[in-house]
Amino acid sequence: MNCAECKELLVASLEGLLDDSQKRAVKEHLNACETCREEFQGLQTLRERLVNNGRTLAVESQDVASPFEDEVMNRIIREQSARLKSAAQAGMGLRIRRLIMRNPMIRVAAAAIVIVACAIGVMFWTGTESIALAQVLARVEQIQAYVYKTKMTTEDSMTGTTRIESTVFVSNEYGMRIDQTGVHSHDGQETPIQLRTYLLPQKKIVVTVNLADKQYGRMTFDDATLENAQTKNRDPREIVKTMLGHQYRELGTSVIDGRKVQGFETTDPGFMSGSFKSIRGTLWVDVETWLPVWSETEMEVGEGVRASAVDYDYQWDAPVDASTFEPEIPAGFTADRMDGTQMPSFSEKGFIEALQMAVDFTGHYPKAIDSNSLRQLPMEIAESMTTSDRPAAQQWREELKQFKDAGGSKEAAIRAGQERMMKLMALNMFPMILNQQQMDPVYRGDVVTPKDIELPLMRWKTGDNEYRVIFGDLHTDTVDAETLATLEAALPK
Amino acid sequence: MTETDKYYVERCLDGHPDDFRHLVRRYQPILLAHLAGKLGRRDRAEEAAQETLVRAYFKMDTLKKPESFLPWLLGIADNVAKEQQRAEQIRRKRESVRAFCEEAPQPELSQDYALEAAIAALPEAYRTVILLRYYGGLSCGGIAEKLDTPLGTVTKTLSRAYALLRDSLQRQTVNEVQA
Repeated sequence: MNCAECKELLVASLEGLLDDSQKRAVKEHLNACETCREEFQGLQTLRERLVNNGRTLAVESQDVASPFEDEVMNRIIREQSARLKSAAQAGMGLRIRRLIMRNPMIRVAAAAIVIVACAIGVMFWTGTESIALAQVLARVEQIQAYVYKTKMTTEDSMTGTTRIESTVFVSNEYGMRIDQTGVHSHDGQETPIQLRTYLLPQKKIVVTVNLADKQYGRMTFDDATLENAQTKNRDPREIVKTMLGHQYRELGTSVIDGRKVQGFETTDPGFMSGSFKSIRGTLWVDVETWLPVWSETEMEVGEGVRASAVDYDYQWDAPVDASTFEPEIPAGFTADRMDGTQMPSFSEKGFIEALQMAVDFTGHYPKAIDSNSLRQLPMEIAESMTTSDRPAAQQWREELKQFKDAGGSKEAAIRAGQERMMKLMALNMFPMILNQQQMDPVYRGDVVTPKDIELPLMRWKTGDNEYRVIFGDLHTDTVDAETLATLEAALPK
Repeated sequence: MTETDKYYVERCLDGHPDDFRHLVRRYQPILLAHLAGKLGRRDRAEEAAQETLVRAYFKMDTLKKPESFLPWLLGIADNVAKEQQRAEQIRRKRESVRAFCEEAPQPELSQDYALEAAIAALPEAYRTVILLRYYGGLSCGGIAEKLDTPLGTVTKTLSRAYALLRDSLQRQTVNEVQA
């Protein structure tokens, strides 16, 4: 046997695939040839590495489910119950969900997030001890109106990817206008988005004009929602105050568009209400004007949902006039199904109503009120609406039936469902407002049930020695710190 | 555990989702090895492997040949890995901007990342054989049966795969030394 013939058989030999005569021949050759012996040892070492590595990755016992396997199965079950049951059994749940995802309010909320992001910079500055701080605050306080552009991408493994470019006009006097163009893609289908949204505090309405679908909608909102919209979207000073407490670090100086800028970054999970799995905000400020030039926000909203946004091209103190904020509805456009409805209230009352709705349809409170838990809730409720025996669900179906019997349109029925589902947004928005105002909200849906009439389900600080408490049975009370401590001590560990 | 992939795929499609468990168990090590080499980090590989399996489950009705479950699964894994890498690239680009204020955290490498990376770089035919043999626990005979090829071809492929792996591992070492 020569070297070439031997080498050809070495791997087969390691694998125990040689017949007796081949084995003998290889053995003899290896005894006589050092080069091939080395080759053989090299292959042997590699084989050991492969076997060892394979072992570390293998399931410890083939008969017992591994945590990995359980996690995969759980994810499948979660997603399947969401997909299949609601879709196949009634066809209603998914439709409702799709509507929720497409509804303009969600877009307004998404836009609001971006706007908060733009104001991050102000917060950063107030955190520094430099003389510049006063200049920045003074500078920002003078701003009456500004315009900027945003590029935003939202990726949701269930509902698809949305890419939107917006121009945002903000005026202390008139309100806010967001012009969006973009594309939503899902399962290979692309839907163009062309929207104009007006938030008009004086008239207490949100107007959306959908240029792609030739539709429009006008929704009213209450004072609590308005206040939130104002603090969140229009007054950088408020944001400075509420966000001061978050950690950030300096990124040094750089140059953007020929301007010298200084950067800041926060990854504080408490930033922006703490309802995201992770968040990172970066902001670059012009060192001469002390005003933001460029800002980026990346967040992981929950499982399979990410969003990122870049804000740029800021025009501070841009000349804006009243006509910019006058909704223009082109001839031939029709009212969409949200037209004329009331936006959900983000007040204590709205929050309690939403909790009640969760209990009525699912029998329990959401375990947490972060974005991820709250994404599941509408699905759960939609499923309950169509399939469960709970009185609320039966009543809902009865209402729908009566509605249909009375000759009501399918559209109108869907609209009623949607209006109802939107109430759930208070679960997210109300704590977010409390957080922004540093009112220290604590929610304990993980341990408190509707039966716990003396346990605090949710509480927040309303004064120096004063807390507002919502109990397990949804009654409310205002208590001092000592009483609160006693109440909280009774919570199960 | 002894049924064919085709059997389990059909069971799942017939409305027995729990039987997917068997496929998860069967291909978990292969998927992890495949992805660890591509992604370089054990935790990312695990995440990607889970995502791959969940996607596979929900796409099962598009699998035309149930007996080719593994190559199909690896195809999905490649997509997932690509998506993750893209996200990672963007993150790194941003990271490099701020590199001057912080040292990048050391990624948690798997135990034998060099080997996994070398496997990931193999041409598909060689990679499949290595994965099935050492991560899927099949004998050469089993692989021949599974891939419907003569045993001689399997040993030749394996032999060649060994050579390619050794080359690639040696190159990695040289690069490390030079770096």
